[in-house]
Amino acid sequence: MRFLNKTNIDFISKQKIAGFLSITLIVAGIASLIIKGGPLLSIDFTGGTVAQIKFEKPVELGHLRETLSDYGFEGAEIVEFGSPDEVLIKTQFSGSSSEISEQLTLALGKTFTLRRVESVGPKIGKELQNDALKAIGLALLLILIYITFRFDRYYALGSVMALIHDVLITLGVFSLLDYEINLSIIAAFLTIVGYSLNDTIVVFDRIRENIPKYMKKTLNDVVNISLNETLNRTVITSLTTMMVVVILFLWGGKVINLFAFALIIGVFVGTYSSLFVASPVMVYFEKRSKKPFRK
Amino acid sequence: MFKDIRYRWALIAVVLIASSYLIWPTYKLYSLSEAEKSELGVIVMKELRDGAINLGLDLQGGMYVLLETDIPTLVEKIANKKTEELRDAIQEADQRSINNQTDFFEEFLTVANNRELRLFRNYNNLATTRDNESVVQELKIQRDNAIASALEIIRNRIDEFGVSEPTIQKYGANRIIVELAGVQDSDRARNLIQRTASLEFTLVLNEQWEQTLNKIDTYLLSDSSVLNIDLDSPIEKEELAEPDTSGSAEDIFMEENILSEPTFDMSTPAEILKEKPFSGYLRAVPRGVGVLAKEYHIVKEILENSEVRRKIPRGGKFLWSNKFETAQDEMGNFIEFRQLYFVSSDPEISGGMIREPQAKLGTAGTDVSGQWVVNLSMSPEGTKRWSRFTGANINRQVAIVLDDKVFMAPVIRDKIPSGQTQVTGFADVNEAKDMANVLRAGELPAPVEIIEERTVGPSLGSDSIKSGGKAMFFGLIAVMIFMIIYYKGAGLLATLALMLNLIMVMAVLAGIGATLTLPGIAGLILTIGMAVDANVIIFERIREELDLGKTVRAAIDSGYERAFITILDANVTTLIAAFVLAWVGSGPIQGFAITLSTGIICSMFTAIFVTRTVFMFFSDRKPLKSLSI
Repeated sequence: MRFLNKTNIDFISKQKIAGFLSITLIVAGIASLIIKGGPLLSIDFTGGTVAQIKFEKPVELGHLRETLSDYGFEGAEIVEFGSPDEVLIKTQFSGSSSEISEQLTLALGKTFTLRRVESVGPKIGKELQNDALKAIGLALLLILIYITFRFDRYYALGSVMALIHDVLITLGVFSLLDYEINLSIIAAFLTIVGYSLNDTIVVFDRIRENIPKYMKKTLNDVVNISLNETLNRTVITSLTTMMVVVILFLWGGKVINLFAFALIIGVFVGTYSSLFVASPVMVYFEKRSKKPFRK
Repeated sequence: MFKDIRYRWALIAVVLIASSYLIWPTYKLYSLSEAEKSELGVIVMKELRDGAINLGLDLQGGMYVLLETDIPTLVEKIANKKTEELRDAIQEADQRSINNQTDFFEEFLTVANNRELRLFRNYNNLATTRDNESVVQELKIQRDNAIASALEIIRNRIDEFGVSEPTIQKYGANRIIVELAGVQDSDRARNLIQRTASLEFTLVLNEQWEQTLNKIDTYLLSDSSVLNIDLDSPIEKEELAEPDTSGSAEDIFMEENILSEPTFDMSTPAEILKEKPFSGYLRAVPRGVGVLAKEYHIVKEILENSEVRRKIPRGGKFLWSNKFETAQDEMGNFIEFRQLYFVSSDPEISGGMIREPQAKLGTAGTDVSGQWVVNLSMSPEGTKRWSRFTGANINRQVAIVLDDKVFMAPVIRDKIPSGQTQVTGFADVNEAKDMANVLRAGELPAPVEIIEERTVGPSLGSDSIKSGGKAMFFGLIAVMIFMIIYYKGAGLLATLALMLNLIMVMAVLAGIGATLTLPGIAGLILTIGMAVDANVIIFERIREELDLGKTVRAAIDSGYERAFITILDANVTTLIAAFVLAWVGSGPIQGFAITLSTGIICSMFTAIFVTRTVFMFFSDRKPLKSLSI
């Protein structure tokens, strides 16, 4: 069985359309980030408390908000979580889980069970923020070094541009949808980085192999040939990975729902970027360099 | 050597056997029922747990707490001359360290220098030369001592948490992580963690043992209701009638040689308990009286009974030692026990009176030369009391008690009029340092605050396991079906490799003692999707080679050879991201990074080496005309 037989798609000539699409998405995301004053950060990074509670029967959120704001949860964010009888309460209330439990019992009676409480001090939040940025920066730097070492700096530039592209778009989608960034989303970002790169490298590796093979052809052609040759693999792997992340999204439980969502976006964007971003960027820089691309 | 297919099969067999061996404890642990668990006993269960993959707090429910010593408060407390300028400087340094994410002490030094403070004026109690730098150095040492002491205090309360294996560890310079699996009453746990430590020196009342034991025995014999539970508990009947091994209270305490003859399981024989339902459990151990680990809970229950407590003479109380110990009895058997003390309930010295405990090497020329000792001094009031107390109780034992647990009970050799006290009898430097940390609990209660808390209820945890397991199962099935449809025979091979991969990952996780978290399960699921990638790359390559008209054998060979480089380069970059995550990330993120990177590494073996061996096996037997791919 084969999905694609001997394709001959001219990926490089599509770079204007692709570039337009990518830039539109990135700009939309960045605009949303600017308007909303940066990404929506979870209490992991801002400090605060989040409590997940389950009621015996479905509750009406508006009513719940009113009741709770009378009991010291003014300004708390209350959203449904997974099912109509379960809610997430996010508040700056910096008490222990038992204090929160007490306060909630006072407000609601014994109609609920406390499923999860996370409370993070502001100082830790700031540290976790720093750590997250450090992790992403460090990962990108190390990858840049590795690819420069294994291929050359134009490949490295191409792949890192693709990665930044992927992370920016995912971040933008999260901002547009008002989804919040927590610790596990950072892990998802780094996974996207790893995954997208995986895809890109397979293509680059083929380009590296094909360059001496097709001495007469232009770099554009060699890149196109390589992209087409690896297209089957790119599609199949994206498909298997997409299958598992969609399943994770659907059945993995509410707690890792957002994480799985980030991965779905990431796998999609990562596949796209290894076809339409990484290679064209590499070609662009390679051509502009004074050094000819064939040594 | 891997050209020879026999070596390849052998390696695969070794990996499979090793994996099964490593997974066995995990399988065993999670397939046991509660009843079977209690039957296996504490030691076997601990071995099983150590060998098995542990579930993270997010999966089994529990409480994670990050504690931080309040350094600014500590630094202010240490100063023996507290001026407004000092307070201001501390406050500014604190603010700066929060804003700039820097170390408090660095900022403190800068601030002090900027303001031209001369710190030694505020801290002339510290043994330093005169410049600010060395004062700050000395303060750092004090910080380390304070955190070590706080750690010691919390560890000492382990059994009060009622958790089988709490994690209590130092994190960074001034933080402590406490993880309590299965804790539901987070309020109680919080109080236990933050409660102020109580440190006391109190007299050991050895002369009251006999009378007290007799009273309790007599009471228990008269009212068997207290013992109902205990007598029903499975104390195995000994086939051989043992001689009376426990003796009277006096025997136990005064003579060293009455350790019972080794019975098969070392439990106290039922015949003895018929006469001495309480004291029968007590045995002579190297430094006093002990109770076997397996009988500890029985004795503890008796001692906690309210009627029994009423029989205990006024002015005295039973206290346990801080930990279980092992010792060899004269028959060469190792016994695990916990020491029991009977001490005065009216402590002579409280922690606040103890000053500057320090672990030191004994001075040369004295009789403790070359041994580790702990020196301490006393406050003026403490010195007075201590002098009177030691003078009156020469050659008796004084118990050093932290939070109602006896750490040691040294013998008073002499009257100590000056407060300058030396505690001896430590086996090594660690024991001495631990003791100094315990003693510090009284001197300088380190202010610790909770800066992060995560509590997961058990119901959410089990929901997460269910949904995570479901997603993993469906993901695996979906990928397997797809691979078999798309690549036929080769696809089947890839799915076998995938299953082997999951087994290997589990084995590695168990082997390195990793904890499985919910993000960890997500990492496993992602591995399923990504591990087949190696096979996809290889199979696509083989198809290309076949299209070029190569023979099956040649197509397989060049497919694997070329694909290997691609897979290596592609995986190394994913691994870089995963390693950074494991390194920088905290708890759950680390779990994710570890499973993902293990999965990728194992997939290099299963997807490349194992599948190729199978291909070799078929093409070696007879040249293949066609390939099911």
